[in-house]
Amino acid sequence: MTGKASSGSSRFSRRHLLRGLGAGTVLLSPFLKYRSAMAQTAPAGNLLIFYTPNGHLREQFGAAGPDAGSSFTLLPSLAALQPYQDDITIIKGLCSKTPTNIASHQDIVRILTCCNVPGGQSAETDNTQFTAYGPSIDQSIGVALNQQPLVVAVDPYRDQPYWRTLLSWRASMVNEPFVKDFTTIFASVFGGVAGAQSAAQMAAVVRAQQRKQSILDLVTSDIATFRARVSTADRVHLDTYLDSIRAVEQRIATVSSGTACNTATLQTRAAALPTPPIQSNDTSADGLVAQMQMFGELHMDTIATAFGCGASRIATIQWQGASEGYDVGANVGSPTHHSASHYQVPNAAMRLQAIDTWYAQQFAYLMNSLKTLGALDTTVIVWVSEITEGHNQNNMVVVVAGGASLGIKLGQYIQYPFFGQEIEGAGAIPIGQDPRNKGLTDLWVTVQNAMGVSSKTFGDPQWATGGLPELR
Amino acid sequence: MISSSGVRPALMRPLIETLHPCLVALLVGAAGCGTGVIGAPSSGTTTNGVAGSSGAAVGASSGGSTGGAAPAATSGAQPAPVHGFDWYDGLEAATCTTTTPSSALPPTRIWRLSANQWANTVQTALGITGVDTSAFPGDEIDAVTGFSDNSTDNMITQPLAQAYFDAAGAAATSAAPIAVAAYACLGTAPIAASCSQPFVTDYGARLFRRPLVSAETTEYTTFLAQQSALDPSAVAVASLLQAMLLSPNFEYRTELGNSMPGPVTLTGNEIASLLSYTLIDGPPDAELLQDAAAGMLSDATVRETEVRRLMALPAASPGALPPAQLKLADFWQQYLTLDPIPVTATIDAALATAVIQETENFFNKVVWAPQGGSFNDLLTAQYTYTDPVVAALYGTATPDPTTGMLSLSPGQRTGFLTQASVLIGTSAPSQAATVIHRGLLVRERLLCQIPPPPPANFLPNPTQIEQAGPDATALQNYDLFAMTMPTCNSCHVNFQPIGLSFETYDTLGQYRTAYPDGQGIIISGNLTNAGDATGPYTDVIDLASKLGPSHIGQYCFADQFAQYALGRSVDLVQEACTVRSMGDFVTGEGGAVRELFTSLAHVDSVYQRLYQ
Repeated sequence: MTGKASSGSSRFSRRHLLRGLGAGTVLLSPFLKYRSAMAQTAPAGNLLIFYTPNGHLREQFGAAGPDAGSSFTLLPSLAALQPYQDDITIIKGLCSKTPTNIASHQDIVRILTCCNVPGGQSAETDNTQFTAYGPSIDQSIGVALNQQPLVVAVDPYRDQPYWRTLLSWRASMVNEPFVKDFTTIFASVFGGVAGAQSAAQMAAVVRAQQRKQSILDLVTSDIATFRARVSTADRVHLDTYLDSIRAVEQRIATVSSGTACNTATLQTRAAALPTPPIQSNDTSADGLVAQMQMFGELHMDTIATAFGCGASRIATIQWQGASEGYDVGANVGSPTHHSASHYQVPNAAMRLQAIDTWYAQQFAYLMNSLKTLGALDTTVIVWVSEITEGHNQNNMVVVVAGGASLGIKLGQYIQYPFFGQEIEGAGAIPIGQDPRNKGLTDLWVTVQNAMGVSSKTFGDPQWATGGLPELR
Repeated sequence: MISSSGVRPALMRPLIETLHPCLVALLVGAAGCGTGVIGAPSSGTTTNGVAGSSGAAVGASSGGSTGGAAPAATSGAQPAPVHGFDWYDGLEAATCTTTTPSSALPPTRIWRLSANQWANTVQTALGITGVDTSAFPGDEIDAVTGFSDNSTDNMITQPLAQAYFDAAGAAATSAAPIAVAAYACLGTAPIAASCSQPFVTDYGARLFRRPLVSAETTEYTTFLAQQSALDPSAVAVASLLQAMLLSPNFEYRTELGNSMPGPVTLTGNEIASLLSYTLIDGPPDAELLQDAAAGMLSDATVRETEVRRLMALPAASPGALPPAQLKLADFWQQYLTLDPIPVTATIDAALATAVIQETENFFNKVVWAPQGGSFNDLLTAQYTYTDPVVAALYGTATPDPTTGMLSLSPGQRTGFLTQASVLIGTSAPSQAATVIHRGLLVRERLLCQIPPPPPANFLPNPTQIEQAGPDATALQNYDLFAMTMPTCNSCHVNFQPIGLSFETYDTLGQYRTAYPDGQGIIISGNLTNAGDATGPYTDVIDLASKLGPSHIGQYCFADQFAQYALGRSVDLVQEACTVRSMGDFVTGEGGAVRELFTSLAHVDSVYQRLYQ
C-alpha cells in the first residue's frame, strides 16, 4: 500500500474537479535563486525593544550639546550610560504620525505599529483607541526573517493582556501577548533544555550538528552530480530537493544553536527566583523593586544569551504597563509611576527623574550583558515609551544603542527640529503630523533596514520619508 | 476591545522566504495598515507534495499528453471531452509496428521511490526490519491519471526531506553494527580507504541498485575516513549510510539509459529495477541483477520469465499476501479510490471496514485464482467474498464461514460495480450527485472517456438538477434538467443517464425495486459512444455483461493499469499501440488480469526512451 494518500470524502467528483483545476500551481522555481541571494546580503542582526511606560522627564532625560553632532553631554537621568556613550545615540524630535484620537497612553498600540484605523486619522474614535491596525515592528521583521519574536514582561505585572500592555502586535487587531514565566520562555527559545549542560554535553551537541551538516554536504554534492545526468525536464526534481535540503539544514542549525547555548546559569537563577511579585489590576505592593530588578535582569540576560548564541534574534521587553507602573525610584507600587507623571504626588519631578535613572541603570546592565556575550555590535536596542512626557507623542526622546555592525551610527545626539507647540491631547495630533516634523515611522524603517529588511516604508506608507539617514 | 491571540500561522513564513526580495520588501514594508502578517494562510498543508511552502513544482505529466486542454462549454455545441469518445475507434484502427519510432518514444526520466518502496529497499539492502515511513507525507493523486505514483508530480518536498532525514538516520543507526560485523576492519577508527572500499562497493551497489563508479567510491571512502577521525567508527559508518540513503541515487529510480541525447535503451540495471519495483515494490534480487549484468534483460522473453518469477514469489510472512499480489491490490485500491468510508449514523465502524475488505478480498481472490480471473469476471461475477455484516446488506444469504464466499441473489448484483463499497463511495447527500458519481464511474473508469470539468465560474448547485422538487424521482429531475439546461446537459447526457440505472441501489448499497414512497425506478438505458459496448441494456447487470467482454472495456482497463504501473499518463490516442499490445496480450493469455504485468515485458516503449 502507498503511504497516506490524499483522500476526499466524495471521491469521483473530487478527481473530476481536480482535473478541472489543473495540476496544481506554482511559481517558485525562478525565485529560488533570489532566496539564497537575499540570505547572503542580510547581516544577521538582532533587535531589542526596551519599553518603559509614561514617558520621561526630558529636562533631565536625554542629551545636551551644541546642535546635533557627535559631541554631547548626557543629561543626569542617563548617567548610567556614560561608560557606553560611544555605543549609544540619543534622538530627539520624533513624532508619532498615527496617533489615537486622544494621543495619550492608549498610544502604546501605535508606537510600534504606525498605522491609523482604516479610513485614516479622521476615522479614529474612542472605540479605535485600543487597537493596532497593523503588525508591530518586531513582529513585522520577525515574519521577514522567519524568526519568532520574544515578548516578555517584568513582574510585578498583570497576568492577562489589558489595553495598557498591548505593545506588540502580530497583525492588525491581533495582539501578541507577553510571556513572564521563565520555563515557558526557556522552552520556546532554547528548546526546553533540561538541567545544566556540562561542557562535554555541549561539545557533543556541537559535534552532532557538524556531523549532520557534513552528511548534508555530501548529499548536496551527490545531488549536483546526479543532476548533470538527468534530462532538462527532470532537473526541477533536483532543484526542489536541494531547496528542501537547505530547509533541513536550517532546522538543524536552529535546533542545535538552541541546545548549544549556555543556559545552565540562567536555569539556576530561574530556579532561585522568589515567587513572582503580583500586580492586581493596576496595583502592586510597595517595596518590590529589588525583586523587579532580579526578574528584569534575568529577562535581559536570557535575551542576551539567546542573541549571543543565535537562538533568537528579536525580543521586546515590557517593563511595566502604560498609564500605571511601579515607581522604581521611590520603591512604591503601581500605579504610582503614572500618578507621578501627572504630578499627582509630592516631588513628582524628582520622582520621575529617579524612575528614569533606575531604568537607565537597567539599560546599562543590558548593554553590558550583550557586550560581554559579544552581541552588542549586532544588536539594535531601542528604548521607547508610549508618550513623550505629557499626553502626546511629539518631540520624543529615544535612546538607541548597539548595532554598529549593522550600520547604526553611534556616539551622537541627533536633534530633529520640532515645529509647533508642545500641547497635549487631540490638539497635538496635527502638530505631530506636520510634514516638517520627523516621524517615528522613519525610525522603524531604519531599524528594519539594519535588520536586513530593505523596504523603505513601515506601517502607513504615507508617513515614511525613507528612514533616518543620520542614524544609519 | 482586547484582541485575543491566535495560533501563529507557521506556513506563512516559508512562503516569504521563497519570494523575490522586492516582493518581500513590498509586502513587509507596505503591508500597510489594515492587513495582517503577510498573506492568507495557505490552505495547502504539508501533507501532500503539491505547491505550498515547499516550492515543489507540479509540471505537466511527461509521456503522452492528455489530449489537449478542455475547452469551455459553448452553447449548443457538445464540448470536446478531455479523452474523446473516439479514442477507441482510433485505437482499433491504429497501425502499429513492433518497435516505436524515435519521435514517439517517451522521454527518459527519474522516478522517486514511494514510501512503500523506500521502506522495502532500506530493509532489503541493509538487512534490517521495522523501518517506519508513517511520517512521510502522502503523495498527491495525479489529476489526469487518478493515481498517486506519478513520476512527474512526486518530488522531495521539504517535509518529505525532513522525514527522509529522520528515517534514514534511524535506519543507518540500526544497520551500522551489521555492517561492522560483516566488515571487521570497520571496527577500528580511523577507517582507511583500503579497509572501507569493499564495504562501500558492496553497500553502494545494494543501495543504489547499480555498481558505484570510481568517483563515488572515492567520495564515500574519503567521507568515512574523515568522519571516523572525529567519531567512533560505528557512528561514522552510520553517518555514511545515512548520507547514502539521502542521496538521489537511492531515492530515485533512473530510466536514463546512457544519458546521451537521442534514443536510448535503459541499462540492464535500470531494467532490473523497473521490473522489480513494478512487480513487487522492492529492489532487484540477485537473479535479476545477474541477468542484467549478462545483458539478458534486453530480451523480451527473458523479461517475461523474470516477471512470472516475481509474480510467483511467496509472501514475506504467514498470513500476508505475496508481494506481487500486494502491488496489484494497491492498483485496485487506487483504481476504485477505496478510501476509508466515514462512520455515520447509518454506517458503523464495523460496516465501514467490512465493505472495503469485501472489495479488496474479491479482487484478490478473483485475480489470483489459479486460472487467473479476467476483467469480465470482475464485472460479472455472481459471487463475492465477504462477512455476515455486508451479506446482511445484500440479502438473506450468508457467506461460507471458511472461504467467505457468498453467492449473490440472481438479477440483483454483478461483480464489483454493485458492491457496497462502490455504491456507498459514490453516494452523496444529494440525489443528483449520487447519480452523477455513479455515472461518471462507468464513463471515466470503465470507458476512459473523461468529460471536461464544469465551466470555470460554475458553482455546483444540486437544485439546478433537482428542479422537479424533493418528492420527484431522479429520473423526473433529470428529464426536467435536460429540458431546461440543454447546454449543461450536452455534457451530462454522457454520464447521468447511466447513473440513473444505479437507482436500484440506495446510498447504503441495498437493492430496491422501487423508491420508499412507491414510485418506480426505470433501470434500462442506452449506452452511447461506447465502442463495442454501445447499445441498449436492461439493467446494471446487463450493462456490466456488455462492458466485461468488450474490447473498449478491456483496453480502457489496460490503459488504467499502464498509467499506474508506469507512473505517468498513457494517452489512449498517442500511445494507442502500447495500450493495444497490452490489452491483446492479456486476451491472448486467457484474459487474466494479472497478465497485464507480463504484458509490460513486451512493451517496447518502456525500455526505449528519448533523452533530451
